[in-house]
Amino acid sequence: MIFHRSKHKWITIMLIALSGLFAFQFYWLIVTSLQMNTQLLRWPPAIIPKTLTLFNFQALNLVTLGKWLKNSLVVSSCAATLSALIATVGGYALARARLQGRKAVLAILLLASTIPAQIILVPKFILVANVLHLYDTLAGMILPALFTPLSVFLVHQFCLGLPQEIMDAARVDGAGEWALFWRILLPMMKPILATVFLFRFTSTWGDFMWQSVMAQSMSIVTAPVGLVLLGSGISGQGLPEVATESAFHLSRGIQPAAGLILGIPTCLLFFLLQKHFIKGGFIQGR
Amino acid sequence: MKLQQRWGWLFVSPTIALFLIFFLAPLGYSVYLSFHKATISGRVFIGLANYRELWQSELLWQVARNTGLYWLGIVPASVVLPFLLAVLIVELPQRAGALFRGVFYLPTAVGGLVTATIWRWFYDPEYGLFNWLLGLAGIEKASWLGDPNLALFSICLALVVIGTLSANVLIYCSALSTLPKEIVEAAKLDGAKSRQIIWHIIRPWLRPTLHYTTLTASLAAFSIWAFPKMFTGGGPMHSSTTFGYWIYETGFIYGRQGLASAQAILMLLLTLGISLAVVKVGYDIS
Repeated sequence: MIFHRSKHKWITIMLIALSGLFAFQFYWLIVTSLQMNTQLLRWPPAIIPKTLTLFNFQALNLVTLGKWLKNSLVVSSCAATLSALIATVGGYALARARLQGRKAVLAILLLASTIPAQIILVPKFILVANVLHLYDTLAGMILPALFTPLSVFLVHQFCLGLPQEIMDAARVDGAGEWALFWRILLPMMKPILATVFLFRFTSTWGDFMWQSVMAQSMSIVTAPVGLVLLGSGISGQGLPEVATESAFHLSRGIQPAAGLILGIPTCLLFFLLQKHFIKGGFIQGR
Repeated sequence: MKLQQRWGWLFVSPTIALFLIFFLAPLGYSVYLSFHKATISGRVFIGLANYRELWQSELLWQVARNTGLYWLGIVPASVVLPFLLAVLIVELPQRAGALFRGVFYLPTAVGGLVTATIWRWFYDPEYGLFNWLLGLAGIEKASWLGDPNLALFSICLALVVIGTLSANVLIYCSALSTLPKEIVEAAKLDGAKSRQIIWHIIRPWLRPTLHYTTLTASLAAFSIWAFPKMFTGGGPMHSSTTFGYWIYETGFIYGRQGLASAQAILMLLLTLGISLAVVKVGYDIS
């Protein structure tokens, strides 16, 4: 578009080189997960390893790993479903109900979405742990994640663009507000619903900070918390359940191996729903 | 009309309730706590003592300096590099473009923490790949995460590659896809060079996106948490501590909730300008 056609060859070559560098980290992740200390702790490092082993994957306790994944799945899908619902009704009303003061509400929500999470980390912890008594529970991870000001804002933006005529016609036909919303609007709002669901799902899945301050017992460890715990296993602190002490001593490839398994769900989700992600993106030029 | 107002507020009420419970109340409580000596065992009112301690703490200046360095390490790279990459990517046919977009987005799709596990290996002082590269260039091995002069830089590098660059390529690509081709074609007919088109057409077109990415990366310079937590624990000697990590350390590791709240209020005041600017950009875009 911008460059002359003759330059496309060079652009392609340059992008291949750059994305090759980018892809290398995943090559290294995979290769590391397929080696043990005998090969890993060597100088110089072997760029193309001679022997590969499934030791790390066999050493991992898949039941425990599955439990972490299940916890993450429960937390993320609850947070995403409920927050998408709340954001949908809220955003719709802010766009369509001609509420007094809606502009102020929107501005405050947008501002809240930009405040770094650590600013209210301590009091939010006290609230959830001491007032709601939800410390060390999955519910304690889910509840605060239901507040998604950005989702409300996005739904509001989307609803502003919906055709008013259809709704007027339905209203003339005697449809109530609830029927109007449920039967006519909701089907039209599918793309934005997918977007806010996905945003919340992935952001909750990766919300290492909140989940790590919430999790105490091994039974409610989520995928990100567990993955980082595995990293401390390397320094010899040991991790019951996931792999034996001796396995940690034999191989530092266990954490990358677990990482590969724990990364599968979000990766799949992204590539399945890539279209929605890009179409519904927040920043679309003008 | 009256009815509509009532429905409207009913629909918005869950959002407002969540805002009050999980945002405004913790924020207010943070202000309250900042005037108290607060630990798990109890609270005593101590007026401005926390703020005085904060002001006199040498760590404050260390963290402020770190924030400046983080800003330099993160913001230009997170704004300019993805911009250039996106300009190259949109040049290619649809399929090839999607492929490259996918590769650059992969670290974000797999999850930052998963990708970070392999960066620990890259940085390994004994067997890491980066030291091997240094060796090839005839430079002595470095302690990437253990050297106070290097730890912050190492975190910036990992964060840009895994996080901001990766995510921003997608944002720029989708913003660029809305650019009308006719404008570029017309400029080319008038004899504009590629460089001029990028500067005089693409850059102004992407201005909101550029602002948005600059501002969010600036907020990141204050609040990066996961990488210090995983890589360095904020060290060595607090050389990689961010404001966000400092609050966490004070509040959760040392259990000094009052002092952590004073730090949080200070961070809020320092970042509020950036947050307000994000809100303005959000409105400009919509």
